[in-house]
Amino acid sequence: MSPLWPPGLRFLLIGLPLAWLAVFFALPFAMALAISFGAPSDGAPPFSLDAPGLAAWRLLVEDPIYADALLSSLGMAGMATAIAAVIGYPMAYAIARAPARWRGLLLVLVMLPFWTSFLVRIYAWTALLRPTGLINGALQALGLIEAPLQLMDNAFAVQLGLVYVYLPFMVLPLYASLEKLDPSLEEAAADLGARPAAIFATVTLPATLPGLAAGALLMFIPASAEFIVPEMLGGPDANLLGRAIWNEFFANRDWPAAAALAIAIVVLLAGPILLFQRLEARR
Amino acid sequence: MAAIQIERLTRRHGPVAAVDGVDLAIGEGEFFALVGPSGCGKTSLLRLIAGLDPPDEGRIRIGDLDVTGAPPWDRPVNTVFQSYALFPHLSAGDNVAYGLVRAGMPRSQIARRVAEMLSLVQLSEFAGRKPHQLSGGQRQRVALARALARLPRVLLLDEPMAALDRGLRDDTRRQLHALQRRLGITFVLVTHDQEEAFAVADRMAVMRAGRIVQLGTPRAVYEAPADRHVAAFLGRAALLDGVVLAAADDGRVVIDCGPLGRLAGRAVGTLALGQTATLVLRPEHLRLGAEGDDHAALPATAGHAAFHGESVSLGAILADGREIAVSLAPRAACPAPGAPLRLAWDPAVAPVVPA
Repeated sequence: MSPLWPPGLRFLLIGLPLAWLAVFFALPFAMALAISFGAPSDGAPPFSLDAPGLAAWRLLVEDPIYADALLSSLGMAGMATAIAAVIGYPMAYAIARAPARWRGLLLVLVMLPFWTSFLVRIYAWTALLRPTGLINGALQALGLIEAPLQLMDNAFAVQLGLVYVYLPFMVLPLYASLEKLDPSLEEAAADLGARPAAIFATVTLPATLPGLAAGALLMFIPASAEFIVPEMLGGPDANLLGRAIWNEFFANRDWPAAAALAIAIVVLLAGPILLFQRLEARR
Repeated sequence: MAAIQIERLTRRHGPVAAVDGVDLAIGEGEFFALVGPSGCGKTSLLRLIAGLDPPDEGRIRIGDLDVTGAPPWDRPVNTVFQSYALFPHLSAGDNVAYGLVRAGMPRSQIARRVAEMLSLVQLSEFAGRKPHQLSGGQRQRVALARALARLPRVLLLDEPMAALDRGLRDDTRRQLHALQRRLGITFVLVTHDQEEAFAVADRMAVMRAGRIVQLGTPRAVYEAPADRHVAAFLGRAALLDGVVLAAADDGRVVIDCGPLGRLAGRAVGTLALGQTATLVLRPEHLRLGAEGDDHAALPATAGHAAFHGESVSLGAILADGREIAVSLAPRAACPAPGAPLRLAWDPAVAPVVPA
């Protein structure tokens, strides 16, 4: 930090974000951690820390429903991230290679959905997907199907919702790294005998891997604990992490189990984040 | 047989022709330079030869192969890019190997060729380094080794020295020239720096507005620029515009330069009486003449003198207020600023070109 800054201001500039993190991240995390060692009770708050123990954590390990929720959440998020990468890469590439005067508009279009409430957009999907929805209605009117297709309340709808919601998080970092990519690298590869598929595999993709990794993490982390999408599109049987936490918290009023589950996902996701930072630092 | 044969080649960007009906033949083993100010179409022409852009009209043959519609990966041509375009995720050695892997060369042979190429550019110890761990000059040499590794029929170089500092540039120029002589590969160099072209090229083409305006050896182009623009582009010449007063059969012409008087030089091409023409006075043509010198002479006033080591560049202010450079021997007596001068030159070496 420059000595030109007065010491008071310097303290403020460092202190404010630290205070923010302390109040809104460290403190709630510590509270959740503490609650996870408590026991559910009927009072208010609905837990007691009189006899701290590992009961909630033991429950997490012993009841397969939690491991199942965790695994299917990570699987869902991983699958959705992979699909978003396959869709998002060509999108980002096309935007990065579009004439400069188009790029701004195309990026705004990518971000446009954020201007509408998340909840409203997912609700709109139910209007499209439900048995009496627009898609089934149109297909039936055209005589392509006899009975409505089951488009909702299944894993397909959750995947669709996750990809739809988080695609911009994949496209934007990919765009940033593709836009930075010197076009003469691809020309050099062609000049050295590489055909288009080889150019992509040996030059474009490796050179933009950091952008792909950033996009994948930005999407995978929130998608793995996503609550609204499985709740609204996944049907009653979807056993996913977000819903499991919700259920423990509100339905079962088992705050220690909910807290333990929330902490477990943070710790699990810290792994890939740290790995990513290591990779970034090495470059 | 020509290494490159270009016929009526045209490339348009919207209404503008970046390359406008160019005809050009470049000989086998020739070191050829395309020079001109930025925007003259030299890089566009290079990209057409490399196959990076498709032409709108015309044909390109490399050897006896018509490559007009061929993609870059099917041409016996490799390129050193201005930005070098080294693959950032590959080591120097893997960069050099890239084209060989694509060509399906066996591994053991690739290793041998890469070692050979890196030693050719004196980078043997740097094979394992990533591009960002190399200096600008080293990166340039990796790019050169990478482009040469496939032993192309023609090597294209797009401003390969633009990013190097001056000292390194002279060295690199010499190495490039020696390398070309040793390998016998046809080199086509694009540069905006006429000195670079002079130093290395067998022949050069000066381009303007998508066309070749002059083609010849560096010496011929320097001594007899085709017109005023070419003369202005090639070196620090003073250009004195006038009207042709007299033209002798032996090429001597006299032009009337208005307030500067009547000046003599040697006609480039044929100049008609009354035609506007430009006398090209280069610093090394000029000397300080004595009163009564029967050579062409121009009165001037001494200005600032800049010491360059091997020479002194004296500014001489003409009657119309413009300053032209005179190159003096470093030990020559230097007139004090404000002193009256007579600039003299041998009319046989000072070209007069069409305006």
